Amino acid sequence: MQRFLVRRLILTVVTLWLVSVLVFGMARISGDPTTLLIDDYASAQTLTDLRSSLGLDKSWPEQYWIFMKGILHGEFGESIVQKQPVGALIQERLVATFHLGIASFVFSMAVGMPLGVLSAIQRGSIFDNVSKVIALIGQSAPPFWLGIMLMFFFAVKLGWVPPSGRQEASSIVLPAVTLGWFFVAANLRLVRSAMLDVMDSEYIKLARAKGVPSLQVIWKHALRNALIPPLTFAGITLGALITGSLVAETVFAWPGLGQLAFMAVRDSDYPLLQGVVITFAVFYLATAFLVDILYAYIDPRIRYG
Amino acid sequence: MSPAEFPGVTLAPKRSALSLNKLMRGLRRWPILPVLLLSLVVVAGVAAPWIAPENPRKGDLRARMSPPAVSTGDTQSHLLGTDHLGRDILSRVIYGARISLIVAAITLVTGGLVGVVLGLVSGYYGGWIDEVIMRLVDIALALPLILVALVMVVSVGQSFPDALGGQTGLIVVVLASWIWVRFARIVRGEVLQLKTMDYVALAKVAGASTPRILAVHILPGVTNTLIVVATLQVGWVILVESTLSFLGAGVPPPTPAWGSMVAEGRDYLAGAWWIATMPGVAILLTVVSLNLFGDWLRDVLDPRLRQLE
Amino acid sequence: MRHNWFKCTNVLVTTSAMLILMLFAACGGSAPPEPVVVVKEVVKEVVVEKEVVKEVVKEVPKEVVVEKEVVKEVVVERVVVATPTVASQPPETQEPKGVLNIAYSQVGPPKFTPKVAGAPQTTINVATVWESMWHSDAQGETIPRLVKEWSASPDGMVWTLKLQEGVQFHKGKGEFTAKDLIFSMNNSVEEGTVRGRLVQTKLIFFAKEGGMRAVDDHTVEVDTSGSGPRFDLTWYATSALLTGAIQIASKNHVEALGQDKAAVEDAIGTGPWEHIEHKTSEVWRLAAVEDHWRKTPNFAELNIWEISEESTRVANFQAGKLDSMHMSLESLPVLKKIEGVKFMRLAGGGQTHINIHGQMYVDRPDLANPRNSDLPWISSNPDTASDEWDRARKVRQAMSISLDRQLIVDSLVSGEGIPNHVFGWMGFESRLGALKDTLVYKFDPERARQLLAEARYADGFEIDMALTTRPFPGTVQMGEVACTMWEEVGIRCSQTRSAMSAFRPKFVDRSWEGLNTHGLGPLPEPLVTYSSAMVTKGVINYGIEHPFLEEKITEALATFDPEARFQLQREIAQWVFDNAVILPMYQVNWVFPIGPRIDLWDMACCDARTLFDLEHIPHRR
Repeated sequence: MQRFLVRRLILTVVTLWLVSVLVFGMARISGDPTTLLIDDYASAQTLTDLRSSLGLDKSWPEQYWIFMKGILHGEFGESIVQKQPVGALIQERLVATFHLGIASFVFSMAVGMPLGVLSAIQRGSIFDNVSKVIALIGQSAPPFWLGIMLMFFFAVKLGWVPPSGRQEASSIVLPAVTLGWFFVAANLRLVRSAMLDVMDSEYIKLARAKGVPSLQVIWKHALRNALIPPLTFAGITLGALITGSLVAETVFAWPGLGQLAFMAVRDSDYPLLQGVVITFAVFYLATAFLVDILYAYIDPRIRYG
Repeated sequence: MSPAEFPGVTLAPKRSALSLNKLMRGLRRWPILPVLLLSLVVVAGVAAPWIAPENPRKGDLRARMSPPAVSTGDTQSHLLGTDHLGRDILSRVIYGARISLIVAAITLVTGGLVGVVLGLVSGYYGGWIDEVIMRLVDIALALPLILVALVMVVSVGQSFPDALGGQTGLIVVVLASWIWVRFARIVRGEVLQLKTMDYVALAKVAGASTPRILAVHILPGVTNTLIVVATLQVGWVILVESTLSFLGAGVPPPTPAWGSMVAEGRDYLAGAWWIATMPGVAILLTVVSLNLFGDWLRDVLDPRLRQLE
Repeated sequence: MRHNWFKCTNVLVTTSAMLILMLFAACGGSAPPEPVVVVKEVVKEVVVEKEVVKEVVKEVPKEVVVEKEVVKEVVVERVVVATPTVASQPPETQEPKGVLNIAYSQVGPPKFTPKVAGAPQTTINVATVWESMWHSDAQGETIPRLVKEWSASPDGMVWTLKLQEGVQFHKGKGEFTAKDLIFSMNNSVEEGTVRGRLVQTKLIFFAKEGGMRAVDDHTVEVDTSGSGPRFDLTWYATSALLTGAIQIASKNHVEALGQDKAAVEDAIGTGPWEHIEHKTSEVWRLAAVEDHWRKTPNFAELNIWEISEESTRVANFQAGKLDSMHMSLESLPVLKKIEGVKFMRLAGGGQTHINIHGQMYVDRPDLANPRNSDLPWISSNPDTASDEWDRARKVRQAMSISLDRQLIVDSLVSGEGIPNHVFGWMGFESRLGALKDTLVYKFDPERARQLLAEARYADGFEIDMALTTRPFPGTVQMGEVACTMWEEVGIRCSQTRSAMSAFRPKFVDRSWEGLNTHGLGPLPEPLVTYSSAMVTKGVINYGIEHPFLEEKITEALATFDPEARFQLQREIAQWVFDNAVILPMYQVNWVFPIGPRIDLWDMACCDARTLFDLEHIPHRR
């Protein structure tokens, strides 16, 4: 068991290191932040001076070394545009993105699960088909279009919630729905097929044959087992969540990591871009690692496979 | 191989792919509407120059932002309205089908090929090849696709050689280099299973070369899965293209692509809502149809994959 | 059964993981006070027009013979009298109340020192927490702000600036004095600065044999010896008219905190708004300064929101969450429908043009790309009387007259503007004199085809169009539309989109061989853009360098007398027009929606990329 753990850990670290190299190169290819900082009429000298004051005139290997040294000390450097430590900027916005992520997940579960259960029970009916299509809308519509339409309908026309920002408690509704709707379809499918599997299983048939009431069968046995796949799916949705948050946060002016990432790309802000991408990578890899450990703990076959 | 890589796939015994009974049952329940719609999209894409009423790139400024005939009831005017440069939206949507389909098709074919090959190799040989490829998979998954795509397109997009498709070509490359992962993992999983099958062992004993084994014995078993996955991924590609356009890194104007049309029109959603909504609905209907079609296909070919999202 | 156990533990673990994750989730922030929406029926539009410049100038020519040279000295005495703006609303009580909410598409991170502040902070900063040396009134005239009076010595080389007295920095950081002004100017030109127009700023305020000197706490002397007599003190970076106004910071405060910290924390200025909190790319919260030396705001709080999506801004305005904001002209029809909405309209907010690159007619061995006379719009001979020049000129003229500028104005900017025919003269039409009627590119595609045929390009040609984005409505689209219009006469564009930052290097090294879309705000005089972007010494270049321009522009720069200077500028305008070396497109208005809780006010004209004079915004009655 321990050998497996260590092996997975080493592999995770190696992956992370490769990611850091990639993002380092990527950031520098993306453009020159200094041209964005200076005024249109600034001279070439201003540009050169600014570049050297930011340490951008050093060679790439040198810059990389400085970058890695910083990481080992636990800091990502300073944002070129915002002139503040990247770590602090990320920390500020981490909470908002977590908030959005969890709310979206809750929404997708709150809608996806009941629909999935009911679809399984009423398999093949109109309800089954209609709910599938409704769920699919979230997965098939361009997310920013969906978000803006929802905003105009619910925030302007009906005035039920604020259109954007993170100032009021109800501000979370629209971004969470926009982002969460994407996963409703997946959750619905998972719950539905898990329910169908269980309902078809010998165990349930036996319980029915014994005369246990139908409703009791469903609630006690099928439902409990149906909960599992979406929960395990949760870790894997993290990747799509991060992607989706970029759009949702831009449309709804939600001050999270996604918006920060977009700004970093737009401004070619190397340290910030590196910091944000590595943060995302760490979250993804950490989640994958944890899930792997859990499964390995349960199923010895996997450890040695 | 860890279950984390195959969420929810139950390791049930393999059922035979094509029992006639199942096929007949499946065909009776086929999804009429989605198939009709998809055919419409394909026809539009192929026959665009003959179907489209107007030139999608030339607009009449005097008629800019005119509402769609469907809402004004004025049958003389543009059916789906005009955009901010006076271009007919119906024509642009029709031509847009072409671009979206081409982008999706090339992405899937390239990404799929790479993914299948790597998956086959990785699963069959195992060992360090497998490790390396799996590390590549991890990195590809750990890097947020949208950010990477954004950075690549923003920086290299304009200088990408026209022979390779210019910025659109770059988008295809970036998307393909993410989508291969999906194929690789699934193929690998299948291969791991299949290679323990008796008929494979027999072939080995009989002296068949590895490529032959892969091509003749393993690949067919994987095909069904591939078809299903590919169908479901087309919609994903179309959506990612639209998100990239939203972030400023999509198919460059004035080329009519659904995703960039929605992105271009999003500033006008309060007033001239049709500019973004028409292509948006086109994307919506197409992707929903693809999903429903893909679901049906999966049920017919291999219900075991029911839990694949 | 292993199967069940596996699933049970799985549930337990994932649920606890989720609970742990939930612990990280914070609740949303505090709710702001709900704005009260007052509904009114009148929709009023205010159009501000530019008037003729009023100045008192005395000119005394002197002749002094120095050995073999005859030197003509021009003596100018310029005295400007302060003309404070008067709000058009009845005076309100001095007690600020209520919350103002304004949204811009970009606010950016905190940039609290002159050195680091670039666009858009350069305008937002001096409209809120800081003040500039000079300001503009609603007619676009320079008026006093922190500099109360200014006058030049008889030889024009030494300017004496009298500073406002009794101006206090925020939070008790002391009185504004001459040392703060000099410190801020020094800071703005320090190494590592992002500011532009350094050349001019240094020539004026840091002249080789002169410089700035604090005579006493409220008087500063600016000696321009070494740069010659300067008439353009208020032009560059010191007044809010040209973006880039230097914010006057507190020397004590910045030095005490250290530059790095002062740049991002704790903003201290002399403006009518005080910094409370700055959340990057979210909101900047400000509070009214009571008993401000100039004007205490009518509102107690000001929130400047950053909302990058146009639709989101519109939705917020419709929902009553915003009092004003950046708006796209396309949103006008939608916003007009809101009850009680008004519009702040400023004519002459921006002038757009299409640059024609490659016209390098000054001998420049330092340029990497020599002039490419194979291009249809480039002549192999710089002599304007030559046949080659005539041929290339006809091509450029054809390009200009095949554009229907009025249609572009009516459609792309919803009629909020006028066609522009004379590059750089927005706001100075009255000084064109007779030229106003003759310098017009009449839309005539027939004639354009004729000209192209005469130039032996009857079949047209290909040209590269870089659609570079500028913060003026319609700049990118006008390029697209121009290309469609040119197709009618056989000119085919290959278009690329580019952020200005990516395109800028080509501006600087003059390497682009095509067109690009561009725009400018209002200028103190056309000479400013001539001398920044049409000469070899200019950092960037709009595609043309020619001995004629070099000569005339240099002469104009040395001409102290405004009338004589404008005469030279008219000659340049004529030459630029006749030879169609650049394609002016249109002038566009700035339009801001005014919500039902506030009312219109006199605002500085005209570079209104952000709103100014926010302290004058009144409550609607």
